Amino acid sequence: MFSSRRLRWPGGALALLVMAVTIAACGSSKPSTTKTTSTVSSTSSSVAASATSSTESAGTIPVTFVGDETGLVAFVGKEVLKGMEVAVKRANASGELHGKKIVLSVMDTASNVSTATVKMSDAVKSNAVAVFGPLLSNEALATAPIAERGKVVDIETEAEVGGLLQIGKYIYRLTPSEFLYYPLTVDHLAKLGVKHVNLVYASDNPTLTEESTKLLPEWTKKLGISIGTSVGIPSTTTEFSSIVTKLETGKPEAIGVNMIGPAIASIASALRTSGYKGTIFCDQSATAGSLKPGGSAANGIIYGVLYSPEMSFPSSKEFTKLYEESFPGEKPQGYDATGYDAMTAFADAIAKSGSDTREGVLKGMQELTVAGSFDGGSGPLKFTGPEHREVSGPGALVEWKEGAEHMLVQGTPGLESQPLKAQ
Amino acid sequence: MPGAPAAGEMLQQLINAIVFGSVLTLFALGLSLAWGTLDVLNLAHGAVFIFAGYLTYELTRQGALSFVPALIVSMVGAGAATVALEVLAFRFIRTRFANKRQAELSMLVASIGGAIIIDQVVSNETGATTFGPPSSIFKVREYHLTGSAGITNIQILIVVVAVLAAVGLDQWVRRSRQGRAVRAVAYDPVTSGLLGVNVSFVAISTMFVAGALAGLAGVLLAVNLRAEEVAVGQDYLLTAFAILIVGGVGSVRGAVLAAYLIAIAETAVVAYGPTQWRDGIAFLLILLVLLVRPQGLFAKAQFQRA
Repeated sequence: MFSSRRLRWPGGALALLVMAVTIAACGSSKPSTTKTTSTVSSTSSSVAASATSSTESAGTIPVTFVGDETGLVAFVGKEVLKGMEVAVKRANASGELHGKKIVLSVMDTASNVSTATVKMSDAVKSNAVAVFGPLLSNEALATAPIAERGKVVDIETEAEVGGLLQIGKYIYRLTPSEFLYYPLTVDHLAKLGVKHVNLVYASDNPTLTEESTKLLPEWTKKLGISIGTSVGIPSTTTEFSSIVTKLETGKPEAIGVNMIGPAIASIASALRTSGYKGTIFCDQSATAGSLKPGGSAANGIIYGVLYSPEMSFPSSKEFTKLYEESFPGEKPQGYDATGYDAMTAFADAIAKSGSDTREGVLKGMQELTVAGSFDGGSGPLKFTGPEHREVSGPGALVEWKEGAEHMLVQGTPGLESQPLKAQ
Repeated sequence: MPGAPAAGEMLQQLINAIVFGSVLTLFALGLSLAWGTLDVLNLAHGAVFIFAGYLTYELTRQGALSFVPALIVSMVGAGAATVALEVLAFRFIRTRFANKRQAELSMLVASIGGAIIIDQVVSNETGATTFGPPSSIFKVREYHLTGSAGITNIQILIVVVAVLAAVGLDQWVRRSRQGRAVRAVAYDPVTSGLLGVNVSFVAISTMFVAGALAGLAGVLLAVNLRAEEVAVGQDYLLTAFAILIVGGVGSVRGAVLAAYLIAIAETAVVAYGPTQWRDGIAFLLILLVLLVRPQGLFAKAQFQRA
């Protein structure tokens, strides 16, 4: 889902450059900082000098999340990690790991490509039998070859960039593309009788641009919906009045806001303030709590999600329950589910191969793909794509109302992508 | 009447441009003041701008303060953050570097450091995600004008405050005793000090006013946008550079005119041109001005300083 956002100002670029050089220098001269998460054993895997391990470790199965715990997408990284922690807890308690326990370590990429490569190198040099992440597409593209060369399975989440899986057989992506369940939104629009929509999208985000300029026009056309104004703006845009005026031309019955971050709430608020009463739909980026600041103006916004706590799949219900037990008072969200799904697949792979060496993990993952699917927090996930190293999921359509998501439609599991039923 | 919607839309876009220009004015005034008088190109200005929005969010989300007190506290907080940068970094650099160019570059780097620290604080406190003050602190209402055009009460407030701030700052710098001291320091800090001007106090008060102006803009924008994130301040910083270069560094009137000029140009591109080229407009204007009139459109000489 994530593509790197462009640097926004010369000072920021300079600062990041200085930081990158500093971090790279630090990374080459001293061991990296590694954190072992609180939900697992305190016998942390050390990054320091341990050689690449192909031998089974006694009692523990070390894995590393090379993730964005600070920086641009820290809000995602923190949730993905929480989901992983829940899955580790479940797998360790289940006994399916042949009496061993997963020990999860975290290396923070700070949403920075240079840092991510240093951390991935450290993780590959460590005794970790598998790595997870990082989340940003540009980080994933830079680090996946390191994992591939180190012959360690790298389970990606979130990074939707093309070409990632072509890097090699050790690379997996276990977050279903939003493209697979976005049709649920379009289908719902058709059922509401929408015939004409206008659209704004982040033109510097490859995923949102492809979604908005290629896929959405195809889907809407099939359902007899026309797209009038389609406005591409940089995701860094902060002045929306003129765009909102443009979006309202032609009085569309629905307006799409395929943006990321605060732009969604800002545009929705401006639309409602100016009296727009039609349907507002957006991309799954809205799941990161970005609608909350919109208050009542965000009520009624619809979007497709990978996971909803209201999903009826048994594995989804189990995830929701385990999450709420682990983090009392919190509701799980899509990013938590992606972390849970990735770690659940890893545990299932260990259970299948019966070996927790790096080779054993690869063998287990390959056996899992042959099985065709596994049950994650997002429901039954079907292996698909090149060599079946990525997955499709049912997804769901939700409506934002009074500060929370409410599921309108649950997707159908076992399909490559959700159908346009209204055609 | 077929022409009516187009006319209404055109009027709406003009209103949008004026509001946008007003936000840019508020943002650029503080930056211009610091750069024009103290030679501080404060790259932390955008971070301070967002810091004020964050303070308002924190002060209002639990219902602790209403809009006006939160605005005042946030402006003071933003001013204090800028003064902290002056006291902890800029002042030392100014006294330790005899070479003016070296000092300017060092202050530039120091301000980047300040921006990173402030951004990190806000980022940590907000979980690096979207934040905004609750809608209950300022009930936004739209007043319909002619056709489909309208303007909201927060937009009216932004325009009025921007005009008052610009006029007030212009008069303060031009006519007040303190303003004359600021201009004297801007012209020659050493001679000003010998003539009895308290240069240190002038620097601190100038930086406070600059920060408070960023805070004022930050709070009004937070209420208008409803949702912000740390990076928003950086985007305004980029446009503010264009304003300062087009308007002429240190010229309050130049900054105001350039802010509205850029706002109108960018809005026109969004409304009637290729939207994705909006950001390019600012850079095109910078390029043109640097080629034709390097000192800025409204600076009469190299040193205009208000």
